[in-house]
Amino acid sequence: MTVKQWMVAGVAALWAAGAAAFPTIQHWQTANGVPVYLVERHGLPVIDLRLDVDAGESRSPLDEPGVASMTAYGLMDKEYDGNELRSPLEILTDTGNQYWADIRRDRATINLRVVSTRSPMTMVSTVAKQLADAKYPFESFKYRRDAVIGQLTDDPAKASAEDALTMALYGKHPLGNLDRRTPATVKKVGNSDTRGFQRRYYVPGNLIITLVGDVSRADAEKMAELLTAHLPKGEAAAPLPALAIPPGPADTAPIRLVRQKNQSTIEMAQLLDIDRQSPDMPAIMLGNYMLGSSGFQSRLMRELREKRGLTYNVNSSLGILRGHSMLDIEISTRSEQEQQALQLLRDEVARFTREGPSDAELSEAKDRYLRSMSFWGSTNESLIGLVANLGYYGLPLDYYDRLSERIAALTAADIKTAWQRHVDPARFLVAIEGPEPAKTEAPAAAQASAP
Amino acid sequence: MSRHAAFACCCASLLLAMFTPAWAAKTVGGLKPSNPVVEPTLVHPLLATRVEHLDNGMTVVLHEDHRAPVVELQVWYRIGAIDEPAGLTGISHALEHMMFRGTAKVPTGEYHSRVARLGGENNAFTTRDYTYYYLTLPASDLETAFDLEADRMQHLALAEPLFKTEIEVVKEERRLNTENNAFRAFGESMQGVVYPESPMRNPVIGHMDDLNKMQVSSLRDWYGKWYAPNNAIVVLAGDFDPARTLPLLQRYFGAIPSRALPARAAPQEPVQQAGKRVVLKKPSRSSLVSFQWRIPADAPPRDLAALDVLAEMLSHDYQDRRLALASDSLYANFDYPTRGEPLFVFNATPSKDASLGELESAMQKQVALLRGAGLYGQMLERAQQRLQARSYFSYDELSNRASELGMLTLYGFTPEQYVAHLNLLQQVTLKDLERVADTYLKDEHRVVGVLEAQPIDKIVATQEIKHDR
Repeated sequence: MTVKQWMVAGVAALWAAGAAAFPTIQHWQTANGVPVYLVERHGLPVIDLRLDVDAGESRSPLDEPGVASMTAYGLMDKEYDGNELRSPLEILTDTGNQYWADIRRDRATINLRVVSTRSPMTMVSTVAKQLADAKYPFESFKYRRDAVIGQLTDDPAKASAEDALTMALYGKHPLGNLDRRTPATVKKVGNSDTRGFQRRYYVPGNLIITLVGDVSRADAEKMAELLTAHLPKGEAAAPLPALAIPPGPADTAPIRLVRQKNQSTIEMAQLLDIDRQSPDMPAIMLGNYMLGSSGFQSRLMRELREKRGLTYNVNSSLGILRGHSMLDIEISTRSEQEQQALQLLRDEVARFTREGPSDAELSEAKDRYLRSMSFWGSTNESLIGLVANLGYYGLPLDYYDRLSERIAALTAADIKTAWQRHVDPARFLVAIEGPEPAKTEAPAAAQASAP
Repeated sequence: MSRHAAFACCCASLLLAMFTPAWAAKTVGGLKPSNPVVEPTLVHPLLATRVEHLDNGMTVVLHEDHRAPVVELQVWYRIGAIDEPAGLTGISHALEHMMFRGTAKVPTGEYHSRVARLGGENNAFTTRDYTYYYLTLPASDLETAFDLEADRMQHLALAEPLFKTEIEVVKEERRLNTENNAFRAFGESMQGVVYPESPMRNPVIGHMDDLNKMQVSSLRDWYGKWYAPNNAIVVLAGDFDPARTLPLLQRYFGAIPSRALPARAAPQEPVQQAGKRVVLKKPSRSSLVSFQWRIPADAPPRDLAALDVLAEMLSHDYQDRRLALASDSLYANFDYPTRGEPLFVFNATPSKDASLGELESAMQKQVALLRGAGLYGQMLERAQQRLQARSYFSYDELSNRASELGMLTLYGFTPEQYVAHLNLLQQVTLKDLERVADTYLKDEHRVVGVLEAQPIDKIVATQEIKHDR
């Protein structure tokens, strides 16, 4: 495989000597067809390995959110057999290696981080045995379930501004299952549910493996075979039902979550009907970067923090899933000025959508963005995330090269057009965590500072 | 703002550890793990470091890492909340904010935009003991980093109108991270009680009263006193060539004149205050019980290492079923090294069904177990393995390497001494643990803090702080 060069002709001049090359991604399939992605990096005695499984909360039954979470969390649980002294999890972590499971809206991720000199093959075979035959023994299942229940709230729509928004935006779609987990729904989950879920979704057609770090191709192949050879048989899960992104009413009143605070957190969000495969995505990404996700260089930081001192931090972010994305803007500010801050946010988004960036602004932002791409994946931890995304969303191996080419080719008009096509400034859903509205107009209650 | 990846302990591991009944650990207590890890000796990555001193007293730390064409420059100043007099708390941090507000040559906003134009990133941290600035750039732009940092070490503008805006940002930061964050507010209250006299009590962000009356003239004075090369450490890590770089460092920083530094207040406190108690009621999602012990600054190295290991064990392993049932999460930390004195902290949040009283007495029992030989060899080995592996994992981030080097240099250690301390952690025995628990974690030296969570959405009685003696 040829070395993947980040550079593209159009921006080559920007890259001085020692230009970054995106690390080589090796790619193959296991004997039973599981895609594997590997980046070898031998500078540090550490191997990161992860499995991304289409077994996120979106695969839980609609009336039983939490099954996917319990399945992922309890994967390593096992009853002690005969003279066994240690459980799988103890084998994995007693040596200081790390194992953890993440559950997201659209996938489950099983992570293993090992020192490459500390029996990595034993670690991998321990995970493999459990994947092949996860039993979810009742006692540990119950204990784990109680722990999960302890973290959940009865009324998630009131838990935080973010939860209130995502619940409203995803509604009853399976992608909203993550937010709809409550103590009551998780209590209904039994270990027979998780066993069934694991056998249905943790199957060769439904997952990918990514490795980064101090591991050779030969060992990586062995690890991937170990992990997959005895998996329950199965195909990829059917695609989720399409997520309707209704235009929604314009300018709805903010959802208010009353809090005993002297600072309000304002969050505004809307769903966009595009993903990484969409031709407009680079323009939306770069636009978001300019508007609110490039730290001090973003318009929002300049206008609200640097010029007006209204906040410590304001930012926008773009969460991209399959088939859609979510644009989300967040700020915290002294409660008396919350309406002023919200109006400024609305104005800035409207202005950006209406006018787009100037040519000079675009060329400067583009330059910064392309240069910052040379830092993408500079750590193993960030690299494995990038590579796993590429695999999980079925993107070509040269996706990041192409992305930089497409960013480099954008014009100010492209950004304006894409933004106008996909973002409607009048249709953000807004949630505010802060004191009751009457309080926001009164002078600040004297807040005694600590002694 | 912390960008350094915290190695969030995997909760799965914690949960399972909780699930393992105490008797199970007992039956294997003292035995070696069934398959001891055979590990070839690895050379510690931080040993590949060179420390130099310029004639003006500036310390330079060079650490090559050629994995990616990136460099990280950090400038550390030995100035922080511990140096601040009453009435000026938060001044070191406010000055850190103003360091991005321009010099004669680099107007406000330009520092950020120059770094960003190169695709780099930057930020700064102020703590009790130090203030440090970092910037990450493509290796080819190293000289820009030197230029920017040498410039603002000498020529900060500190313009009044910009200060007026910036201090509002700092107040928002205080509202965000302290006033509306019950755990942090509780931490600040605890600090005030654990250290009634010394500047160890100062909150880094500063008291709101002090921020309200802070003047830019005081910042000018503070800057003039402390931002001198002989009070600074420059750490350079990443993809650079030392032979080419040292002369550059000399050119940019070597000519900055050193200055006599003011005398620092020695943070002396009378000995531990017996049986103090802090109770704070605040809207919060969770309550918290905290035990804190001040540890003498002159404790022997082996004791310091043992306390480090003990904190690691307490954070991850339950030895007592009562505590497993009464708590939802545990946290222990040994705050060492410090410019003041070390502190040992043991915190727990209550489980749904446990009262704060039950949690406190379970924690009390756990501590008593430590003193009475109630520790298991297996737990000790696990903690030592975790400490070692985690240090390798953390070196994935170039920033972590650089900041670890900055910190150890600031506290007066060489990389070799630091690695010796890490090795000492691996030599700690159960007897060491019992000894340090018995010597330092005494009830009469302990401050107990209780954060009583109030509903986050309902008005409750105003906050109350009780300081009992």
